[in-house]
Amino acid sequence: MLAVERLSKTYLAEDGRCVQALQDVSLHCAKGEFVCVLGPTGCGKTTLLRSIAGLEAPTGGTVRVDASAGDAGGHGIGYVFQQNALFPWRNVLENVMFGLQARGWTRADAVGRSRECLERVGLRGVETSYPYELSGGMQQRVSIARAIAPSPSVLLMDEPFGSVDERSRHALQRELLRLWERSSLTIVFVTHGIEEAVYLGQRVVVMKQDPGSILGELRIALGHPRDRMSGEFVEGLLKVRALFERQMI
Amino acid sequence: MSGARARGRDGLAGRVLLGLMLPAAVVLVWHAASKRSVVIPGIGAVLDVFAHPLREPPNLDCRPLLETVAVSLFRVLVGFCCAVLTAVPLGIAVGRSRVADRIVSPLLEALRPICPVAWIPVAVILFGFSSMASVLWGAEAWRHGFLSQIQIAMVFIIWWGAFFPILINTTDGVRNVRRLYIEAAQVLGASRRQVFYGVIFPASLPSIMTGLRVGMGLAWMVIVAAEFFPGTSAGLGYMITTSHQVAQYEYAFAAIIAIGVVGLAINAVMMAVSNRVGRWKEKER
Repeated sequence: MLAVERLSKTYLAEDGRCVQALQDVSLHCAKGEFVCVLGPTGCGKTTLLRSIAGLEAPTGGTVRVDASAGDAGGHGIGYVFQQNALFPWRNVLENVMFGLQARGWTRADAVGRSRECLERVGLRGVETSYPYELSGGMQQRVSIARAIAPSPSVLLMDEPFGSVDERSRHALQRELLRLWERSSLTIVFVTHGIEEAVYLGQRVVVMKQDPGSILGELRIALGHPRDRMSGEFVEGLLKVRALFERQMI
Repeated sequence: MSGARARGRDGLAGRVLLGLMLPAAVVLVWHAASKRSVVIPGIGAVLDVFAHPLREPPNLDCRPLLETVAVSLFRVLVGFCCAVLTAVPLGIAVGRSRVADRIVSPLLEALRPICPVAWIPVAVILFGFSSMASVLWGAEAWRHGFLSQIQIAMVFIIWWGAFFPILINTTDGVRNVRRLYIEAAQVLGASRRQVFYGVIFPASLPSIMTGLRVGMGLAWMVIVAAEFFPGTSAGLGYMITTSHQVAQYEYAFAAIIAIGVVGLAINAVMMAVSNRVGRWKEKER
């Protein structure tokens, strides 16, 4: 489904230093998997996501996205940015329609599909609103709707709930899981929150920084939705934290 | 918030009253001055000119007020359109391409400080008395009174004045489009062309509108100055100079007031359009 092989990325910093953002990072995701990439700020997880999406060219290694196995004519990759990347001059519906219009869909079809996607992320009645009129949580829902509208096979999410308050974040997490369960989307979810990673992911891949590379990964063999208070959950949390803290060495 | 009517200084009546204070004071001062001076025309005389906008001024070799305003306005509009059609595409090209910027900027920066009016002598020599009418109809131009007043030299000067603000604002607007939006569009599968029409252009529109607004305001000021010089026999600036020559100052004053009023109207229109187009920009975090 998604095969990242020995991805490396070096770039020249402003002061002339050679920064190795990623070193030999390999990641394989099966169709329909929910994988969380966990790491501290600066460990290259955003660079990894951007390289997969084609926004950055790697200095070494390969990325392969298997689009043929997507649902209903999947077209590859959807991306949800950390900051609000909705187009402020377009209203909510027009934002969601963007990817479809780019692929030559007729207006009627695009409107229909966009409405469907907005429903799937739990938004109603905001079609004609503009992004600046919405709360942060709603904006991120629209971002997700926009990303899934062209039926991607892989959804890349870069700390999408980072700037949302805790209560809204929990709600968004549940919504995202619901959305994922009803589709065959492969999700790669980047976060620096250990609890969020354990709550969402079937696998948690832990990264370290300097140079950016994978420390290890853990499988969270729990069903969804997960009980944050349960013994198994806390156990998973502790294991991940132990791995996460190994990078302090 | 809704339901409570603003009172006192914030209410509509309050605002109108405050806004009228200075104009009322000006009118009073004017009235007093006109009583004491031979030169300053009475308010009545000036209002009389406005009351008969189609009347040919008796001692002046000048068209009626309405036609005079129309001539000045039309010159500005033609020059402004030429500026928009040249400056916006060039601004977009320069904003998108660093190479284009390096090629074009040195010359433009050198030309920018030259104020439009400085070009009048050269423009008159270059373009002579050619006008829109002569361009369109050649030898038959004399039949078309209005359009033969729209001299190419005038249009050039207006174009020069409006060109640079429009260009600079367009370039700025295009350059400052957030990378985030462009990347979001790319990852959604937009082609280079779609990124331009779907993201870069709408995102830079507020800046372009600012450029148009500034350019238009400048153009309106420039035309009056340009009409002071030989090379024209119509327009508000011309009306001011001729009425001065025969000391019929009510026409000069009427022209000055007309300049202010029309300028205000133009600006109001541009602001209304600008606000509608740029509403989202103010809310951008």
